[in-house]
Amino acid sequence: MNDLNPKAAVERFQAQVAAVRAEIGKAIVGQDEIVDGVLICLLAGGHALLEGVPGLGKTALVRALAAALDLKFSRIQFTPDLMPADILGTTLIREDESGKKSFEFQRGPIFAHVLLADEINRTTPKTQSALLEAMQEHSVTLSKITYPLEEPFLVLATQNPLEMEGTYPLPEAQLDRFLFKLRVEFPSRAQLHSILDRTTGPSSPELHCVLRREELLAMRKLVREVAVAKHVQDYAVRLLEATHKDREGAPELVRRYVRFGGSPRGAQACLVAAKTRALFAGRFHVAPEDIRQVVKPALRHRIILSFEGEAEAITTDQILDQILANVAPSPA
Amino acid sequence: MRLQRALDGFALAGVAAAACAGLWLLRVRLGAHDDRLTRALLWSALALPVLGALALAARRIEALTAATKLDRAHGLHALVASAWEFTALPAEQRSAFMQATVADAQRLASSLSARRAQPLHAPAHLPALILLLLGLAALSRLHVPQPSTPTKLQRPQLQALLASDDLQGSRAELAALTTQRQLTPLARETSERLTQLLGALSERQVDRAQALAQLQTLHDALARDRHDDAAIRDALHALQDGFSAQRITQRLAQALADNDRAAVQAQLQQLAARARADKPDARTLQALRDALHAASQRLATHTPRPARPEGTEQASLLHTSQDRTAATPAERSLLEQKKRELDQLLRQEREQRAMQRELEQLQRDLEQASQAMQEQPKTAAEQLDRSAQDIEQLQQHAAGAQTSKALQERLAQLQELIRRQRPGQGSQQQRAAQQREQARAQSQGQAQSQSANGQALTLQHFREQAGANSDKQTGHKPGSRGLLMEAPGQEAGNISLPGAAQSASEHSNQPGDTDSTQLRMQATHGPGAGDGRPHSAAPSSLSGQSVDSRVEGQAGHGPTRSEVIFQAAQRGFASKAYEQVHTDYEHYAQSELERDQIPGGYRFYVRRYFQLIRPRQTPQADTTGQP
Repeated sequence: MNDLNPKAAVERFQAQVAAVRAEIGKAIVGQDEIVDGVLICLLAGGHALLEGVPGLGKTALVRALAAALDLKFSRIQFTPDLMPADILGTTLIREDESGKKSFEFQRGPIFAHVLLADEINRTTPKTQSALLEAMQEHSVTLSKITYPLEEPFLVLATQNPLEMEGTYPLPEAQLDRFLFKLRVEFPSRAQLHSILDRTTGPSSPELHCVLRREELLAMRKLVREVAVAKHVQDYAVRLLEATHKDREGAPELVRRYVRFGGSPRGAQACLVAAKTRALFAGRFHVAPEDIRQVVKPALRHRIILSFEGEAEAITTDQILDQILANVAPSPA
Repeated sequence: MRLQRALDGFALAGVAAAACAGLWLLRVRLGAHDDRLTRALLWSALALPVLGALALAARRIEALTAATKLDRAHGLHALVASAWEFTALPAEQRSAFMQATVADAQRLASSLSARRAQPLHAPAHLPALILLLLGLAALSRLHVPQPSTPTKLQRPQLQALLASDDLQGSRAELAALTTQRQLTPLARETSERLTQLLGALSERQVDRAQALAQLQTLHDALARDRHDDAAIRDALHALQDGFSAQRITQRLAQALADNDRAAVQAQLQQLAARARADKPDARTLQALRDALHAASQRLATHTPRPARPEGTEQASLLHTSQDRTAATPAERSLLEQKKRELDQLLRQEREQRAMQRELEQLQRDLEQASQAMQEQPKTAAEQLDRSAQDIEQLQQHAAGAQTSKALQERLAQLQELIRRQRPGQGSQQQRAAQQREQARAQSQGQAQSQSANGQALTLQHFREQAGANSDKQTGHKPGSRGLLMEAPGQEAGNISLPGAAQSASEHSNQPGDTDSTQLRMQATHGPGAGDGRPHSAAPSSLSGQSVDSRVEGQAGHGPTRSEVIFQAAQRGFASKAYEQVHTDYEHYAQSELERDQIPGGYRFYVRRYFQLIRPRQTPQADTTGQP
């Protein structure tokens, strides 16, 4: 590992990320924060939950990402009657030329590098939970046989925050398995013009592969190499502790409106995402600013509000804003 | 960083030093130049800032803190702080990225500026220090007078509680009360204290609470002294009954009923003269003897037994237990108050005994005169002269008690004036004028009812006039009187009539009468000045033909309180039982007023109500059967 030239590796990393961004930018206008968030999840080895109203380009973003990375892409449209076997696959009876019959596992759409789980909250919890093992262990177990998923494995789930009828909110255990929860905002007026220009013309943009799978795996390893000083790591820990109402330093909003704070997975997510951001910035170490930048997408879905918080229409982003304002980056 | 900390410490300790310097300066100004405390303050003021600066500057500075400051100042995203931490690790534990971080930090180290990381700024406590120093400068210029020349502390001038014309009016009325009438010792003392209080109010030396408390004290003292009046009037009434049994003493009885002291003296002197005659008529002597004996017997039954005033025992106990229980200032204050009350009660008891002795003396004189009337008429005449003196003294007592009552009412009015004197209220002049008008009407009403020179038109006179006058509604013939008539030159006043309105509605327009702009029902226009206009008001329901008589009975066998009040409403507020009811009820109302249970705006009306339904001074109207 000491043979690694950090400077060159980081420069190469930055160049590759810039190439992917540029390729995605051909299909997606604006949404830089979302694109960065998805890239962080991809490079940090996590999954992303995209939340936004229909028509904001969530599916297009995932498609563009898969095209730019030359990865196997599959899409599942989640519906209430979707069954786990529809996702994971099923065992079929196959008869060969000699007439001998045997069972053969027919792989489901989950066996891909990038899985788009569209409108994930429209299916039942039974089907939602079929993703649990795949997301955490990167494997699928059927009939006592475990099938590993090929790396990289990235789940990009979308959900619509407007329609609540006929939906099944994701259970906390599954939410916790998403590295980021990204909110897709409505584009600006200039971005809207650009979107119209690109999508209503005679030709549509053609995407090319700019990053091979092996390169992506190498980038994932590089992310883990980024150095983190103790005081920066302590900052991430103190931020996570502040989401618990019974911990010292919890702000007023947390004490009043939070039922459960973030899990240790939240701190892990913060730190690994901050490392990725540090590499984006060309640094060898993580700065407190990196932590601050990733706290909201990494923790907003891990904080469970109390009834009072729901009744008062408090959002987890408000709570995290107060936490960020109260917790100093360094003890001094 | 150490310099900045030194500055912070200097400013922080400088605040404390400035406080010490202020105390030192104050002591020096007060003359304590050389004592130990003054010197300690001076040295503290000098040493504290230096010590504070040294203490903070010597504190350890964390390397990570300094590194963080450098990162912030130069926008290095925790590069220096992270590199500082990584260098603390053993070399074999450092990753390539850690080494790269340290190398980056070392490369940039030469360009980092410590001054940029920690720029000097004003200490946070500097404004407070400057303010204190300015205060010190002001204090140093302040001239403190030397203690050798004692100065009289100027009491802050309080808000005026009474308008100046109210004060003048009160003083004039108080002077009129005290100079024209007989005063009991308590009334004299009260008037003196009231005069002092009015002076203090004029000088604005007492506040509202003090003034009200003093007025209440005076009022309470007078209230406890009121029983004298009733006892004397009761005795004189019994005497009148005794004398009215014989024709020869009927004029004397009438003079007693009129409370006409001069007429009583004249009648008694006439009786004494008839007894001194050379050959007194035996039948006259016998009649005189019987009259004197009857009066003596009546008086004997109405002479009050000496009773210890209520509360004396309790006050005595408190007085004797003073040394044991007076532990706290509050208890001492309470005991002092009880002691004063005890003194008042004892004085009241003494006066009661003195009055009783006078009544017994009168009874003995009358009895001796009765016994000596047949054999030694001249001795009987001397006894009659002595009896005249006794009656004179009793009437003086009664007049003094009436003065006390008038004084008490004036005190209540003053209390009400002060209570109603609040900032933000309407025109003070208007209220003061209204109050003066009420006070004047009250004073005049009392003057009329209390006057002993025969100017007042008593209820007895009224009845006689009313009975003699056949045309009550149109009585405008020359020399005749209307239903309510006053003597020429007499001021308007109220006359005790059942259901009558207050005095303003009963004013007459006699020459010399005061202005009466309100309702003028039942009024005449002077002798021979009738204008023939019909009167619209109904006559009084009180029959002028009736003859009031006292009904003998035992205490407790009289009417119930509700019957007393009902009878008072029908027949007039003049019975003795009603007087007791009124006293009790007024006491209850007064207690509630003092506890501030009644809104301020209604206090006046409560007092005015009880003033209007107060008992009248006409013992003849006592028809309730209460002995």
